Amino acid sequence: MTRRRVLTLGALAGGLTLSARHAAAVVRLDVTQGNFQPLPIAISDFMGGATTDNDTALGVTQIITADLKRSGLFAPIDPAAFLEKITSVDAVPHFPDWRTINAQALATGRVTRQSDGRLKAEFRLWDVLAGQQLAGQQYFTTPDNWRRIAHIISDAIYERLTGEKGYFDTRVVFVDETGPPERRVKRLAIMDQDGANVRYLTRGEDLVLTPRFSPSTQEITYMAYGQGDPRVYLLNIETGQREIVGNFPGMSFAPRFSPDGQRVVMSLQEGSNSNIFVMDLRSKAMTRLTDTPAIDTAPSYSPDGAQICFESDRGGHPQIYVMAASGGSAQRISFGEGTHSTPVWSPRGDYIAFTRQAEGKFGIGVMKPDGSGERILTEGFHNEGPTFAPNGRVIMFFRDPGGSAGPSLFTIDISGRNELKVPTPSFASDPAWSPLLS
Amino acid sequence: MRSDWIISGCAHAAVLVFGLVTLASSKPNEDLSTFMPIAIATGGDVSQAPPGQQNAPKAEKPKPLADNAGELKQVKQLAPKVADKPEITTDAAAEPKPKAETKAEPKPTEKAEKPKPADLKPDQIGEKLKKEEAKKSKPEKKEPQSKPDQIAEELRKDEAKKPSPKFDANQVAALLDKREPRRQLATAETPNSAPSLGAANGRAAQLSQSELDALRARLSQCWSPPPGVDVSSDLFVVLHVLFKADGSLASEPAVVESSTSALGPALADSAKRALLLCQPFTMLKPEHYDQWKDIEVKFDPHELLGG
Repeated sequence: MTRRRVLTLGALAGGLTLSARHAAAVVRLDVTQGNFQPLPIAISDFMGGATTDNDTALGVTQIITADLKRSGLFAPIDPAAFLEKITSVDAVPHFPDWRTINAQALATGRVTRQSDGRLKAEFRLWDVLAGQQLAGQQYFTTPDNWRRIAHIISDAIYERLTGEKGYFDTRVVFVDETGPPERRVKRLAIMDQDGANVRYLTRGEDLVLTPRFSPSTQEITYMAYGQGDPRVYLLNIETGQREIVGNFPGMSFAPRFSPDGQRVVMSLQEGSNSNIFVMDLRSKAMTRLTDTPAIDTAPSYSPDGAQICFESDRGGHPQIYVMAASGGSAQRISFGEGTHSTPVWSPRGDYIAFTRQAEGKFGIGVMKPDGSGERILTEGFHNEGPTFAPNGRVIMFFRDPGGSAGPSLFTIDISGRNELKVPTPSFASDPAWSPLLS
Repeated sequence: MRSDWIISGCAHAAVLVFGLVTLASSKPNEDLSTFMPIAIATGGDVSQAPPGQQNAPKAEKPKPLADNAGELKQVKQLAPKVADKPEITTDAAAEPKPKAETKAEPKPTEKAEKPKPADLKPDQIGEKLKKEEAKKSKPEKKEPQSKPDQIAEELRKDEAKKPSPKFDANQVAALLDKREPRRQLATAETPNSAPSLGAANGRAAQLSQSELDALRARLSQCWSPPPGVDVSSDLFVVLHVLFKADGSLASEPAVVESSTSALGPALADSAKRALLLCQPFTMLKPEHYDQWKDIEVKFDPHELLGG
């Protein structure tokens, strides 16, 4: 009895060792820890095809360097440290020179004015450690679009090295504020995401608020206090044409486009409450989505257009709710401390950003669409109005320090790192990020 | 008298009833998590070790230690053999002699075992120590010479000195000798620096867990994952890495397995960069090269994601 047991044990053990031997003799190691470090990248001065192109080439290099550095994910190396001088965009670089200065990637390029007047820009991205080319591309455009080409190249480099789509070839619409606090002049303005090319869209007679981009067309929807009640307007950026969205009694505000650009969802005042309505831009038909004796406002579509998140104080304080895009019952998803408002759904669908107010502090945070994983990215007085970059990885918001100073625009990475101020000609608020222009 | 008995009886009964009631109602500790299942081992289980693998390959003749190639020349193992103790005669005077002989033999190759000081008188020790100071220089000078001759010499010396000392002076010298144990170079047909009794491909010298941990720690330092990793996707990449003997990469690591995701290439690139950046991996011991020359490394960023 004992002996048999011992023998079976032994046989089992033997069987196990046998099977273990037949398994791969290769050692397997699991690496689950790492450090997110900005990637050291060398951006060699872009060359001009002719000497007249040199200024443009230099400008392109500077824009690419600034874009990548501002993203917080790259660490451009000081050109003074470069050992090799790149003279041809087609020749293979001498990689040991770049490894010596600890570059892990290298970008080279050339800008040439063509005979037909177009501008040709080309670049190559090299993996210094592996010694091979990662990407190469050439673009043609009109000469005065050279800044956009630089941003497009930045996007290509960003995408190849991080795997994410870039966000540099985008614009931001915002409310430009000038003048003393008691008599602020507010104008709609639009600029490149790096602060260049500012253009004013309205003249400033009306108070304007909450501009939002259309995802598909060159249109902006916003709210303006004209003569009488505030109204929602549609503005065509290229033509400058302006039209009122619907003609409703009472106030209408907080408009947003649907992902297909065909509808605008907004909040309409009814007595002392407000409810959410959606209007089809072609048929002008209005559909009611909520019907509560509460203030329901700030609606935002999910990127697939199937759901809407919005702010409601039906529970007593402003919190975030999610409902189907066709209306119906809404689930509350914000249960953290304080009140939650101004929700906006990420273009990737993985987060909802919001403004949280608790204990006198205003924080910009993100949570998953089911309400879990609430994280505050930045806190202070007075942060508000988050908007996502098209790749869902960067959030822009505005901060009003109060007093005689005015608000300014800031960007922050979704991980909470790399908070940066966005340069604007004057005070600025209510930013909205456009989709990728290309 | 009667009442005393009654009182005593009642008190006893009360104690008994109290014990029965309270102790019976207390529940045993039902926390089964503290239970440890044990099996009772019988004497047979313990003495009859499992016979092992029935069809194991025959062990080869044990390869002796060999530092260099050359003709077969072995040296004694550093630890003295236990079996060689000669008989101890009852004659008290002769007692130190056998001890001295066996102890002098391994003296040049190891620190001598401490002689039993039980039968040594303090003044004798002092005398002999003084003598040994003078004698010590001689054995030291002779150290570079060939050792077998010295052993023979010592033995002869001991035999000559036999009658007078109660203990062996060389023992004390060996005791005082604080030098590191040394031995001659062992030579054989083929050099073999790791003597083992087992089979040639036996895994007696194992790649230690600490080496793997050190490699993992180094790779964690060097790895910067792409920032866009999404918590909801099961993102990972497995690279097949071939190393050269000095710890550097023999070739570019190849992806053997990866999750299907748009971020896959960027994750694979970041993993390859970590390997290329931090070579050579000097924490991997050259004597275990056979075991770490071919490694599969899985890079999985999920623990890093804060959500």
